[in-house]
Amino acid sequence: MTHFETLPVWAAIPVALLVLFGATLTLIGAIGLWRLPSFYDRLHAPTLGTSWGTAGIVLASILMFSVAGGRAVVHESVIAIFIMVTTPVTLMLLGRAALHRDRVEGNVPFQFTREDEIEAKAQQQLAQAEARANIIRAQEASLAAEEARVSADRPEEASEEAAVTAPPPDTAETVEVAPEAQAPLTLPETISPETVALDTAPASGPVPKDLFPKPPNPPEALGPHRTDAAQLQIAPKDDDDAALTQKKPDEDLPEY
Amino acid sequence: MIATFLVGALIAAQVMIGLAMICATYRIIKGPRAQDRVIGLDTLYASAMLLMLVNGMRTGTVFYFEAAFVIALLGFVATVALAKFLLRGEVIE
Repeated sequence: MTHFETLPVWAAIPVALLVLFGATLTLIGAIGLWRLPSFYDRLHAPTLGTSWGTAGIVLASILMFSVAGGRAVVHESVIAIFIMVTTPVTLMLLGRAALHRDRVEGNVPFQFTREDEIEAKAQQQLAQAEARANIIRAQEASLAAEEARVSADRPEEASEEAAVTAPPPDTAETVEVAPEAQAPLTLPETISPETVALDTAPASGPVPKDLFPKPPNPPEALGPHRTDAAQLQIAPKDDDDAALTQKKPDEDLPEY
Repeated sequence: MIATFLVGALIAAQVMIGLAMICATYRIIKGPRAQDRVIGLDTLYASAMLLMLVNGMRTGTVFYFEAAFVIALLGFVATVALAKFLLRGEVIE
């Protein structure tokens, strides 16, 4: 007890406070180790004791022995530096070991892993692409139905027209007209299928019957829609494949 | 007066560190898996090291410092070896 008597008050109070501070932090960290629910939570708790718990007690020891001995006694700082360097190393090794064990045994420690996220995103993109492709298929089907209806309507009308206006040599004229009449038709078709249906409707009076043997909607007029559908069907799958194949090498556990 | 205050503070700190060691021992005994026991052992080592330091402050000798240093070294080596064992099944490859 002799070394306490030589200690002045201005040094004794900080020493007592630092020791109590360090011991309290150590106790709190140990209680966290006792009470926290999962291993990955418990991994963090004892670092309270190894960071400021150790630092507080070591500072108190340095202060007390330095003031009592009348010289600088700093050999406790070796312990502080050593603990502060080694604790992250040990805890990271331990966390990796635990993660490795959990993954090997198949208990995924977190609710969503990265693989699950990738899988869910791929499924979502696939569903979106399917929905868009279904819409476009429905549009194409309605377009085909419209075409069929129009082409079913046309022969009577054309026969009427032929009866009213056109003698047989007129067909030669309409053959020349046909490309011109077709050209304005194709322009609005690029906008939407409805305009196509409306333009090919019987409203366009002087349309020659030469148009009917040809498809009223030539493939290049439907081109934008079809290529759009094709892109929509193919492109997201490409993205999925690219994402999965890109992420594949990442999924391997790192080499230790 | 100040000596009794300081001694009381040091004994209180030792009691707290002893309670921390009890918590770590509980985790070692009860820990559901091996990594829980290893981290309990690591905490037990650190707490024992701090207990040695506070004991050295209370008795006023520097020999407890040597004990604390040895405990810190052994705790690090033991924890790293056990973590390597949990990770690979081998300590030295």
